[in-house]
Amino acid sequence: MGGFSVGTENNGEQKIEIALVGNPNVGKSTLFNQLTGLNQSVGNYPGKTVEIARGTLVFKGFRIMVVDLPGIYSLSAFSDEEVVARDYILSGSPDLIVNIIDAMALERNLYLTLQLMEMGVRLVLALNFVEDAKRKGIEIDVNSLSMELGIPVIAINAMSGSGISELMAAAISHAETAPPKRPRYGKEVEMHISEISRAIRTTDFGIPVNLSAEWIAIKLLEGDPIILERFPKLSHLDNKIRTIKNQLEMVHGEEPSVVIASERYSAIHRIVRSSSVMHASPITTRSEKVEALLTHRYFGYLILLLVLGGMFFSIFAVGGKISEIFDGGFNLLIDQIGRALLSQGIAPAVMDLLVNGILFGVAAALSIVVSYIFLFYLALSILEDTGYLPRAAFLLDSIMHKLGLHGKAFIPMLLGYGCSVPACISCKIMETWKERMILAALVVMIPCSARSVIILGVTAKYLGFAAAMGIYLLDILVVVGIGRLLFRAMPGESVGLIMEMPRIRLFKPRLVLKKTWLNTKDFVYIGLPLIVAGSFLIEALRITGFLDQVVLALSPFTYGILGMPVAVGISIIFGMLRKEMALVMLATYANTLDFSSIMSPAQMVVFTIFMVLYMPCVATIAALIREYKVKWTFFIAALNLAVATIVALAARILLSLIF
Amino acid sequence: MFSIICGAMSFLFGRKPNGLSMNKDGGSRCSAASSGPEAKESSDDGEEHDLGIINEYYRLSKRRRYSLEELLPLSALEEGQKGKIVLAVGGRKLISRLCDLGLIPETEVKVLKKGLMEGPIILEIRSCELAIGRGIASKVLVKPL
Ligand SMILES: Nc1nc2c(ncn2[C@@H]2O[C@H](COP(=O)(O)OP(=O)(O)OP(=O)(O)O)[C@@H](O)[C@H]2O)c(=O)[nH]1
Ligand SMILES: [Mg+2]
Repeated sequence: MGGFSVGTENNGEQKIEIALVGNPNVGKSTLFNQLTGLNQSVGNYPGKTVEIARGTLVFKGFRIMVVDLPGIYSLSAFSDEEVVARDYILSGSPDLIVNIIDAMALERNLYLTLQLMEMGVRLVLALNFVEDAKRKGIEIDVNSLSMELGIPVIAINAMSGSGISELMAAAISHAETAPPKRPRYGKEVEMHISEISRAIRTTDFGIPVNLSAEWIAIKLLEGDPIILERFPKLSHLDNKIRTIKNQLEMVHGEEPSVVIASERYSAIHRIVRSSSVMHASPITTRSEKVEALLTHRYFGYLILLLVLGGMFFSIFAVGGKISEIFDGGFNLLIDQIGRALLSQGIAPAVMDLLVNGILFGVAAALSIVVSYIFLFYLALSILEDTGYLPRAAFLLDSIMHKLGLHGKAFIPMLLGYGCSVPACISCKIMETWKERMILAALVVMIPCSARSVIILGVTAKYLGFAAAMGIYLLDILVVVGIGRLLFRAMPGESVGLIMEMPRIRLFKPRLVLKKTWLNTKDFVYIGLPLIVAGSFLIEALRITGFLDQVVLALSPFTYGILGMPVAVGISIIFGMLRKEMALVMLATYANTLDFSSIMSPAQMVVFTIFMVLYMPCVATIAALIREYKVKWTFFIAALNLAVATIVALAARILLSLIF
Repeated sequence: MFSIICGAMSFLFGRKPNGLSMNKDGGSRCSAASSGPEAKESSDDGEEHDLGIINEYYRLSKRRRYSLEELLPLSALEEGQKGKIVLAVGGRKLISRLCDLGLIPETEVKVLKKGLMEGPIILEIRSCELAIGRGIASKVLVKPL
């Protein structure tokens, strides 16, 4: 990649903007990262990117703005992502579109290409996964594909970066050429398209000049709802179009939109046949055997259980060990520093502030972050990259239907065990608003890794592994129950599962580690300083007695209703800020790491349940407001608080009956 | 007058003007379908919606290339069985999504996996693997191959 330099300032550069467009999971974000040196998150399942991202690179004297778009199958206006992508393309802002194509699924990928050609935009194709295709016996002749389509086609490897210099060179040299011509469709369809586009051209419908009349004609034939919305004057053509659509339907016996889809696919079939060879070698590869096993109707569930159980168990086991080692080491260190400070003749109050406030905070934060949060992300990154998540979604589809959702909802839910913020954003992989809103309300009730620290640091540590598992199970039951309620209560439709199954791949350790670090970074750079500052603050405020008053003010609730020790008010307050602070602040406030000295076993259970459910943290609330508006966020927070109180109270009563 | 229109149509579209005759044809077939026994037989596993779909097919489709007995909903195919798509019934949104993914009439599909308990189905279509819910699969009519 000799010619690249990322985002440096330079005068006299020519600026161009290129957009990365393609089906989901074809490597757009991987290519984007290669080009810009940024870190868009990447994962082996469709729908990883849900928002537009931008970055720049400088190449051969050009300053290139690269735009990463969510993956789409089509430019019909039936999903939000498609509308976003389409509006962006139509805005005329990109000079050129790099259409990324998965060589293993040429026909399906070219469907979008043809629609881009219909729009009359400048295009360059980037053919990814060429090696994989070759291994499967699919040989693509890049030159003849390029000839057939009339578009430059460049074979790339988004992962290794090979071919992307050529790709950028082609992009630059085509940034100002005339857009390619779309392939011709069947005779009748072409006749209707030209009839309508003639009518569009000869009358002023207020359509910008850069829009192709043919594209609008095709959209009108397809019955695209948004085109009419954007250009209301086109409704003059209503009658004409209705007649034409009736004629088409009469001749083909199919809805006009289906007719046009068929026309596109038959054009694609022609192109693919003359530019690629499929060697008849349908031997099942090893990865195909694995794929078959993963979705097996019985073994599939067994594997799912093993994968999830193994994941949680190893996080707890390994995390517990690491955290023990850290704690031991830090305790020794704190002791020694404390003694050393005292021998220097420093006042005990100051020493308390330093040792308890700062060192203690650092120690607790490190043992939490390193042991559990890092491990959670490691496990999630591995699952994401292998392509296992869509398989799990397939297996769990029937169960998710009981919640009014479908299998894909499993992905945000599992991500929720890492952090609620990305989980809330990834709810966008659901198709309808109803599903997204329900899912967002559920996802925040799943214990994120910071809340798992509470489950592990209290329940598991003092009451055993089984009790901790019990809390996780209870949480799942609560989520299912609330899901069913919301599904019943909310109007609106939900659609069934339609999801592409990506190929299973071995994960690349380097990529997984990098991604784990990118996700954990936040905890280290924001969470850790906050914990230290919070510890310091608590230590300082302890002297003034201000904290006692605040905690006391909460006591009618904490002690009165839930029967917990008054001190846990601290956890509740700081947990609203960040969940990983809850336990550390409690330890600092109560001046002990041994929670059994301040809570009875029953209190621990009630405390853990309440802390897991009670309210999203500030960062999650901000994400919720951005995606789902203030009203729904408020509802979610209120719902969580109510559910947490009810469940914790029920647990308190139940436990007092038993013990 | 009628023959002129027919002539014009066959000239324009290169086909017989079968729009009108189709209507008659469809009418008689529809009554055959509603008289029942055949339709019931074809949905042998007793799933009620099969019948609904097949009637729907007769009502909607103007190009009845296959007879009723030859067709099955996609959800009725066994694992490993292949079929050719004839028609999908559903809302605009669903149909459009299916078209985008290549599930259009005359396309060959193979059922790779059927989920447990009315779970989804994994299809092989245009050399991609696609999971679709059972509900959607029961709205797609195929001719088993
Ligand atoms: N082996 C190999 N894997 C690749 C290549 N390009 C991408 N991948 C992997 O394919 C998966 C999908 O890549 P992404 O870059 O997230 O795909 P995307 O197109 O951005 O997907 P969406 O955001 O869901 O639309 C990831 O697991 C990548 O690591 C490649 O050239 N070779
Ligand atoms: Mg992406």
